[in-house]
Amino acid sequence: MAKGLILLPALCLLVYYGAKHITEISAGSDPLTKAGALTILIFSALVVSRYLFLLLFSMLNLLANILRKEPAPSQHDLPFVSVLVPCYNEEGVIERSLESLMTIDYPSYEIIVVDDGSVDDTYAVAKAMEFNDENRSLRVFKKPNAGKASALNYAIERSRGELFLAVDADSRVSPDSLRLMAPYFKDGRVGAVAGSVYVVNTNNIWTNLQALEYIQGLNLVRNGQAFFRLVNIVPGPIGMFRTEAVESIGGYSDDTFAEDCDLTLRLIEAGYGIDYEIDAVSYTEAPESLLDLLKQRYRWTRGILQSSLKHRGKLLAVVSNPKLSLLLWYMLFEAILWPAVSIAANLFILFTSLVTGMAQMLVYWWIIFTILDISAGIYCVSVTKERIRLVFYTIYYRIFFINIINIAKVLATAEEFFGVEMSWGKLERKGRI
Amino acid sequence: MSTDQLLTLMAYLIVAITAATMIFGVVAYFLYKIREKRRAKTGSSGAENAKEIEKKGTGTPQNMRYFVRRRITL
Repeated sequence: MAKGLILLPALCLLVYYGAKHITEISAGSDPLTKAGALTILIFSALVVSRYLFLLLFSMLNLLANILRKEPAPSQHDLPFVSVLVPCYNEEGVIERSLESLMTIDYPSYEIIVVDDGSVDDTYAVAKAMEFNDENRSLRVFKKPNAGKASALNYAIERSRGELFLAVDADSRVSPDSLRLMAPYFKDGRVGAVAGSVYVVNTNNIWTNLQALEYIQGLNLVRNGQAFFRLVNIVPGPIGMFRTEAVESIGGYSDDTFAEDCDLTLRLIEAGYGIDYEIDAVSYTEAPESLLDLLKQRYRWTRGILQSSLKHRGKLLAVVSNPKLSLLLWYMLFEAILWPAVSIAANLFILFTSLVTGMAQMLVYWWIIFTILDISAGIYCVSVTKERIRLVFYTIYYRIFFINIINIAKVLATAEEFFGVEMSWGKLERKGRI
Repeated sequence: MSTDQLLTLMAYLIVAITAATMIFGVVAYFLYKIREKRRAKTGSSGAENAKEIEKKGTGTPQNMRYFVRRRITL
C-alpha cells in the first residue's frame, strides 16, 4: 500500500497544472484554442480517472489480501488438482512446458495433455513423457482438430480433480502456482482464479513494451477487478477453475474467439466470483514482430467483443445481475469506446496544436503524463516480480505503442460489426519458454 | 535558443511522432491483413505450411519458393 505513494508527486503535479490550465482557458482566447485546450483537459481527466480507479482498487485488493491472509494450508487440506494442457502444433515447446509442470510444488495432481489434431510431432513428444506415480501422473490424448475449447472440454471430461488449472502449451508456470491458487476455492462462491502472465522473450522493443503492458495494463486491471471478485478474463496461460462450476455451465464454448473470456462471463452470470492471485505466474512467449502482435490483438479484440455481445441481454440487468451488467458496460467501454475516444482526442489535439498557439501547453501535459506513467510503471514493477528496466519503456508506451494498438482495436471492431470472416490464426512461436 | 522556441520545437516533435505513429499503425494493420490473406490462400500459416510440406513431401518447389520469399519480406 505504501508503494502507492510513488504516484503522489505526479498526481499533485497533475492537479496543479490542471487548475492552472483551467484558469488560462477561462482568461479567454479564440474558440478553436479553447476547444483544443478543453479537449486536452477532458481527455487528461478521463485518462487520469481511469488510471486512478484501477490503481486505487488494485491497492485496496492487495491490502484486502494481506488482511484476510490465512496460514498456509496443510498438505491434507489441499485438494487434488488436474492440470489441463490443450495443444496444437507445439512440438517445439511442449517438452519444456511439460517439464515445468512436472516440477510444480504440490502434493497431488495430474497433468492431462490433449493434442488437438496437430500435424507435427507434438503427440509423439508428449506421449514419450507419460508417467504415473502415486501422487502425480501425466496422460496424453489425441483427438481430431476442433479448436481449443473442444480440447479443453475433452480434457475436463477425463480429469479427476475437483479443481483444474488450464494452461497454454507454450507457457511455463511458476512452481508455487497451485499452492497459491487452490486456497481461494475454500470459499464456495469462487468459481475461478486468474494468475499473472509475464512475457519471457523480452528481446526487442515490441516484446519489452508488451511485458510492460502485461503488468501495467492487464495484470493491474485484474488486480483492481479482483477487489470486487469480478475479473473479466481468466487468461489462457494460467487460470484455475472449480470443475463442478464449469461443468454446471456446460464447459467451454466454441462460438467465440475468446473462449477464456466467454467462460469467465458465464461463470459470473451463474453467480460465481472470479479472483486473482498476483504471485501465481505464467511465463509466456509474446509475439516478436509487429504483424504477429497485430494478429494476436485482432483476435483478442474480436473475441472479447463477441463474448461481450453474446451476453448483451444482461447489459440492462442492473437489478437482477448488477455485477455482470457493470462488467459488460466496462468491457464495452474498454473495447470500443476508449480506443476510439483516444484516437479522436489525439487527432483533434494534434490539429489544434498545429493551427493555434497552444503547442507549449501540449509539452507540459506530455511531460506530466510521462512522469505519471513512469511513477505507475515503478509502482507496478514494485508489486510484481518483473524487472525494473521495463520502467524505461513507459516513455515509448503512450506516445508510440498504445496508439498502434488502439488503431488495430478500432479497425478490428469495425470488421466485427461488418461481419468480416476470421480464423483462429495461430501464432508462430520461437520456442523461447 | 530561447525556452519558448525549445518548447515549441518539442511540441512539434510530439505532434510529428504521434501523427507518424498513427499512420504507421494503419499501414501496419493493412500489411497484416494482406499477409493473412496470402497465408489463407496457401492453406495455413507459413511455418505450419513449411513443416507439412517438409514432412509429407507433397510440396512443389513453387510452394517452397513462395514460403521463403514471404518469410524474408514480412
